[in-house]
Parts: sequence; C-alpha cells; structure tokens
Amino acid sequence: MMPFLNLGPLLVQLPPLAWLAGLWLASARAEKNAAALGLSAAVMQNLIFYSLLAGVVAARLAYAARFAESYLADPLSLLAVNTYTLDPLAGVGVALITAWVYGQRHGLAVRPTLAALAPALAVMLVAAPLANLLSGEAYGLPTTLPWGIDLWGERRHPVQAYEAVTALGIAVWAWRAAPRPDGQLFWQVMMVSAWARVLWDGFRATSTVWGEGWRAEQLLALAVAGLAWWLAHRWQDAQNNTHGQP
Amino acid sequence: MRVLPVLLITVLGVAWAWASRLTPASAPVAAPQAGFAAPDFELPTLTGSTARLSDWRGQVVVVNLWASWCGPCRAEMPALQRVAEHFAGQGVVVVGLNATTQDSRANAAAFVAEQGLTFPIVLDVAGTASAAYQLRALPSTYIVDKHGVISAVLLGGPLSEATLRAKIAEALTR
Repeated sequence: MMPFLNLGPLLVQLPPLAWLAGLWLASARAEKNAAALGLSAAVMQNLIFYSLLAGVVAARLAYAARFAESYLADPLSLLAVNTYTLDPLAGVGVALITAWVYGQRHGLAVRPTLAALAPALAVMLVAAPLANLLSGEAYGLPTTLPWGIDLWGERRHPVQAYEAVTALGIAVWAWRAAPRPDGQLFWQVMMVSAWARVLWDGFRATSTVWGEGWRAEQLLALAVAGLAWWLAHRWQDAQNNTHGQP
Repeated sequence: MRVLPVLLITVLGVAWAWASRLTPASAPVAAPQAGFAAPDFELPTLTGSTARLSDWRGQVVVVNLWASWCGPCRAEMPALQRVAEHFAGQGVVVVGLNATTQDSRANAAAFVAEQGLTFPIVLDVAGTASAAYQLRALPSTYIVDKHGVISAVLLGGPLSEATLRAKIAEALTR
C-alpha cells in the first residue's frame, strides 16, 4: 500500500494519479483508434472530456444533494478537490448519457465509436485495481498463502493485484487488436472483464452482501457479461443479415 | 462467441459465486481503515488529564491527526471547530490528536490557544497512536461511528466544513 509520495513539501496522492494516468493512456488510444476508423479524433477527445466533466459534476452534485443543508451553508465545498464526496452511480450515469448525446449530435456512429473506445475501457479497468492497491481499498480475504500481503492487520489475498494483472492482459489484447468498425471488441472486453470480476471478487473481503452472503458485485458482473454477450451476438447477426451471410 | 461455452462459463460463474459467498465476519479487528474497529488509544490531554477513545463509545468521534507546523491542518481547524460547535450535544465529539513526536506540547498548546479550539486535544507523546493509525500524511481524519467502527478515512486536507458534516451525518445513520 502506498497512498502517498512525499516530494519534499509536496504530498502527492498516488491513487488519483493512477486514475489520471489511466485516463491519459485511454484517451490517447481512443483518439488514435478513432482516426483509424474514420472518425474525428478531435470529436472523440471532446466526447471523452465532456463526458468525464459532466460525470464528475453530477457525482459531486448528487452527493451534495444528500446533504443539502451542509452544502448550502458552505457552497464553496462543492469545489473541494477530493474523491470522498462523489456519488459514483450518478457520475457514471450522467457520463454515459452525456457521451450518448454528444456522440449523436456530432454524428458519431455507435459501433465504430465503441470500437475506438474498447482499448480505452480496458486501460481504465487496469487503473481501478491499481488505485485500490495503492490505497489499500477493496482488499482481500485473509489467507495463509505465501503470496499473501500484510494489510489491515492480517495476511490477505492481494486481490487488487490479481485484478490488475488480469486487466492488464485484457488491455494488452485489446490494445493490440486491429480496430474494426463492428464494435464487437467493446462487448468482448466488457464480457471478459466481467468474468474476471466474478472470479476475483470471490477473494475480496469488501463485497456488498445480498441475502445469504451472495456478493452483489459478482451477480452484477454475471449480468453484465450476459448482456455484453447478447449484444455482441445481436450485432453480429444484424451485420450478417446486412451482408447476406448466415 | 458460441452459446455453449458462454453458458458453461456462466454456470461456472454462478457456482463460484455460490461457493464464495461471504460469511458474516466476527468482531471487526482494529485497523485504520473504513469498516474496521478504530484502534483505541489512551493519551494525555493538554489539560493534564487522560482520554481514551473507547470512553466516547456511543458517540460519533471525529479523530483528527494534526501538527502545529502543518499548513493544511491549520487551514482546516476553523472548520473542525465549527463542526464541534454545530454538533455539540448531538452525540458527536471532535478529538484533535496532536502528533507530538513531530511537534511539541508547547507548540500544540500555542496553536490551540491561537485557533480558539474548544474540543478535546490529546497528545501522542510516544507515537503509539500515530503508529496504530499508520500515520502517513497530515492532516488525517477518521470518522468513527457509535459502535467504534471507522466509517470514513479522510487523508490530507484541508477538509471543508460541508465535507466533515456530510461524513458525520453518514456515520450518525450507521
């Protein structure tokens, strides 16, 4: 765990830096793929930027709305630079809607856009467990295995490392894949990443529990994997019908 | 990808999800992380008495680790004081934990007087609390709920009053 780096008088928080590095790489790759697929790299860059901006603003406002009295008394806190006071669901939802609206308004076809974003998605899925490894969050169950790490008073599965390594493999595969306009790679990345999540979440200590010990994140990941496969299948069928293939 | 392999993987996934269900945890161990019991400490106060974190069990406790030379600590102290005043009598207490191994009692006392702080100040003279909380950055703030479990860890600063009030409100509902 290494949440900070002391550089003289400066204290650099490393987990947000991991996210920013992932974002930078993801954005650069998405723009390059966009150009290869005949899309405007500038529009792709703006799509990512405006979606993120809208997502962050929405996440902050949604969180603040839950504690309206506190934020009305101290409105400048809306601009506080921290990640503690964000509503992630609201942020992701608004980011996706913004991306959709922006893409539609600028004539971005859905399939090639998703194709361009596939490696970007894969890279961000590496950044997330890396940030968790640095911060010590989303930690693993206790273990006696020799590769366990000492964290929060016990020897634990380095589940963040398991996830990061798997995600890195998926990202390398997606990064090296030649960009194709059919968008299949996006659903494949999502499906394989979701299966990886099902696997590694079984070693996590911080899962949200539903009912008799069922891990919510695993069940949701199974649903996401199923949905991604179904959408990929449907798109493939539609494409085959368009080209007169069985 | 064909239906059969996907179906097989899905069935295996459901089986793994069933096999890896989370069993209820025993009493939470102490660690400076959300979801864990807040490491207890027994430290001298500026007024000469002794204070123990567990003495405040049943209340939400805001444990703020600080030092007099720390700029962000200085910047957020007024917010902590206002929060202490706002929540007075409502089952919330702010405790300032001075990292005295990196500071001095005299400087801490002068700082408290200068800032007009009225909440309890404890002195980590031997560094035991700093070690228990794995102090890496100043300021560091831990919101401990009524059951003695850490509900939020806020590293760095300065924290705003709204952030503190929101995190305290979350802890009050636990």
